[in-house]
Amino acid sequence: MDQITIIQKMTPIALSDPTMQADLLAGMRTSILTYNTEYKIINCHPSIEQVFGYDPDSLLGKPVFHIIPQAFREQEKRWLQSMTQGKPVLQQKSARIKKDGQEAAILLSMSLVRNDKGIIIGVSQIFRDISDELKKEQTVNCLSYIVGGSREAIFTQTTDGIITSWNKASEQLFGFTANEVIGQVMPAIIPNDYQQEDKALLQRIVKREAIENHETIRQTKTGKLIPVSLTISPILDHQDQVIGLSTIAHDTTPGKIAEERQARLAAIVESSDDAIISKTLNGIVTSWNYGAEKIFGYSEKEAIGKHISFIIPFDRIEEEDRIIASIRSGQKVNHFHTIRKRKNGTLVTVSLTISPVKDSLGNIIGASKVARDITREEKDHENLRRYASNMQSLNSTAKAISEKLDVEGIMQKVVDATLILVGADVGVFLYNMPDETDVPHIFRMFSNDQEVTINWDLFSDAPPVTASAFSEMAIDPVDNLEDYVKIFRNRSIASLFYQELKMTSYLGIPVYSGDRKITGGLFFGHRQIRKFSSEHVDLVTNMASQAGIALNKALLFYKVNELNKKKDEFIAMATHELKTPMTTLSGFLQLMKTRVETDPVNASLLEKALKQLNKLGLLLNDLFDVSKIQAGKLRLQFERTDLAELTNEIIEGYKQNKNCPIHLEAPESLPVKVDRLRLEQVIINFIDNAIKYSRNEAMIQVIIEDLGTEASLSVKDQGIGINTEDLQGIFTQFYRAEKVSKKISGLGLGLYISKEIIERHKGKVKVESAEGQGSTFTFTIPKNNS
Amino acid sequence: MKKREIVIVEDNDDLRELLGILLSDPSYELKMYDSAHEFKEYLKSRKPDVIVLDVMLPDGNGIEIGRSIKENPDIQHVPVLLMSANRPDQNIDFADMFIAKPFDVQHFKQSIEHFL
Repeated sequence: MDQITIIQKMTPIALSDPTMQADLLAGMRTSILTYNTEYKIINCHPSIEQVFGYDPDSLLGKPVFHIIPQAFREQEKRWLQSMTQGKPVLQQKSARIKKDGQEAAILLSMSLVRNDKGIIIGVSQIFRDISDELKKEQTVNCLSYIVGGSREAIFTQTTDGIITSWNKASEQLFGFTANEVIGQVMPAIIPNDYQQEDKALLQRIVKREAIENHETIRQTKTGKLIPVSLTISPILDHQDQVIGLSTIAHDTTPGKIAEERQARLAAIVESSDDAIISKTLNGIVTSWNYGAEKIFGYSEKEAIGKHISFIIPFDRIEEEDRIIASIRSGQKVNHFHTIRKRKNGTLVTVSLTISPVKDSLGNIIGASKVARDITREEKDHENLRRYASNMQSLNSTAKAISEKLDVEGIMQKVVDATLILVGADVGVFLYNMPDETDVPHIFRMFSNDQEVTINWDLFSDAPPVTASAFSEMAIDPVDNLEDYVKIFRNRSIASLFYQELKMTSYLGIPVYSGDRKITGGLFFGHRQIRKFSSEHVDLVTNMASQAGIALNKALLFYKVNELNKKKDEFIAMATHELKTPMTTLSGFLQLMKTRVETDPVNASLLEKALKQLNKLGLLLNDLFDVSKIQAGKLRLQFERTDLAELTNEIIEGYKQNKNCPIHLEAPESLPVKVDRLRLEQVIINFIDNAIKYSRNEAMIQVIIEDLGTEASLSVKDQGIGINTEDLQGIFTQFYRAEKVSKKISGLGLGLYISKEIIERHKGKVKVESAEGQGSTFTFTIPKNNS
Repeated sequence: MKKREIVIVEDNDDLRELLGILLSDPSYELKMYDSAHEFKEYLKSRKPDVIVLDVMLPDGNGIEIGRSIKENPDIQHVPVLLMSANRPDQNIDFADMFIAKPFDVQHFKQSIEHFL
């Protein structure tokens, strides 16, 4: 009421200079208007134009509600009501509609206008636009709200150390309440050991230095020490004088750190140069960092909510299905190199790493994707990849040839693999293997390339291809054979490549023998010029050295094999030759025996002689068999026979000749398809061994079992048994148990031959034994061999 | 009674001598040859009752000779006994019997008589 009165009193003066008055009011963002009891505006101060945009005249006669927002109209009426009851309206918050339609917050004071008779004829109101002030107020409120709500302890103090503010988090961290500390000198949160340090910090602040993330120790009200990270800034007054300082104390106790990690990660994501994107399992983008913006050109606003396909080129759209499928199954996709599309339509080569995003229950709810722009790296990678692939190819070839022992197989593999490696049109591998008398013997191998048909006979006919030619090989690749051949006419292989094969580029790399002599070479040609680089030289040299090693090995193997073959041939021949006089000798002795039957002494002597001859025959048989096995020539002649019957016959034979208790446990009949004679040999060998190593008269059991598709035969003795060590080698050639070798004769070939025979029947032999407890030898064979 | 004709092809002189003694019987006509060539000459004019062939001959192979006999309709009915120190690698199913050297002389004689 007072204010209105003043203005009304002022009016006569002010009106004398309307412009000045308007300026004055406008500067205060204030305006005055009057409306009658019918709410029609009857007077309006010109300042309304500057503050609210209206031409004052245009408002005259208009209802005042024209400029009062809907929400405030009722309030306006209530105020009018209360004024008639004598309650003033002063400095109330309301709003007015500006000409541009915007609402302005105002501070409003009103008074009733009465006529001479004291009858109310209208209302006069003065209002000030306080929108800007409200905003400022909000900012301040907001800041204090942030500080108050912050989880970081924040407090301010004067340079004298008087606390001027102390937020909730400070209360929690240090245990002192705001009431306890504000206006007081800094409480005892600085441990004694850190007083000096704190003074130094203060010195720096006074020099307007900001201190960030200073790691130190503070203590709480209860005296507990806590690690903190301090960020301290000076507080300046309007004259730029340091009047205090603000401190943010961050508790770095380990448990707290995990809590902070989330926020830190978010910061990292935002600052990363890589595109970091998250999406739902349906492919809808849910986050999009600055890196993604840079790489793909879409802003966060543009990207979020869209299906990820907007950055996938059309022809790669099915990639997304595959990626999502693996994400759904919980699989990470690592360093997947692919192409993506930028906003401007250009393509970008990216390396994608995509991981499943899980909720707290572990359900996969989406995917996070890191995309790195590798366009620039791509070229280096291309080189690396080629190198890796070359190495891999080289290694696999080296491995393949190291397992081979045939010279031609190795040479073929090497020349073919190397041809591909260096991208040549033709490849030739020449290798000299001198015979025993050092006469050169050249192996030739040519690349198997279907696209090039070459008359390779040229190489076998060509006189220049000799051992000496290898030593003339050039290590550098030849870019153009035309020039090269002109200068070096004698480079025989090079000239063949040029003249006969019509090659232009040429590469010849020596292959060495074990004693570092050049024994061969790898030669490659290409129809175009300058096709081979030093990288190719390295590759071929590497391959050549692997080939040299493999060939040396193969050569040794070949020589050993040849000698072995000769040995086997010799044994076969020797046993045959030895048997011929034996046959005659045995025959004559047998004839003699028929004539001395009346003389028991002589008959017995002859019997003994014949027995020895029989043993000699068996030894020769074993030797012969071994030579056949070694040469891989032990041939079987399968026929239908009955294992039970066969075994029974054999045992009957034993019973006739020797007095040994053999018990047979067998099904009535067990038909098998076997080499009858060879199987008989095995059974006899098993039984002979049982007898040989048994104590006198101890029972020997022969057990035959029908196992469905297989048949088994075991010979079980109660003899001296075999120790664990001997069991291991018992089926190998010439093996004889150490202990018994002196007492019991034999070459130690029997079990080896038996095992070989059974294995040729696709069967297995085994032995179970313990020292002093007898042994059981068993073979198992398929019933139907073919 | 007509004598039974036995023909033996064996290159070892001593063994031939042994077999001569073993099979000396008035009811046998024993012919012995030490080479494939001579045997083939003999076979052109005669049909023996039983043939005993050594496998390894200086000028031929008993298995091949035996097989050709079994493929010749004129004489394929004649029993062929193969004899060798080592068991041959080849299929010898065509032979009526295989005798491994050294052998039991009585067994040898019984085998011959079996086929006569």
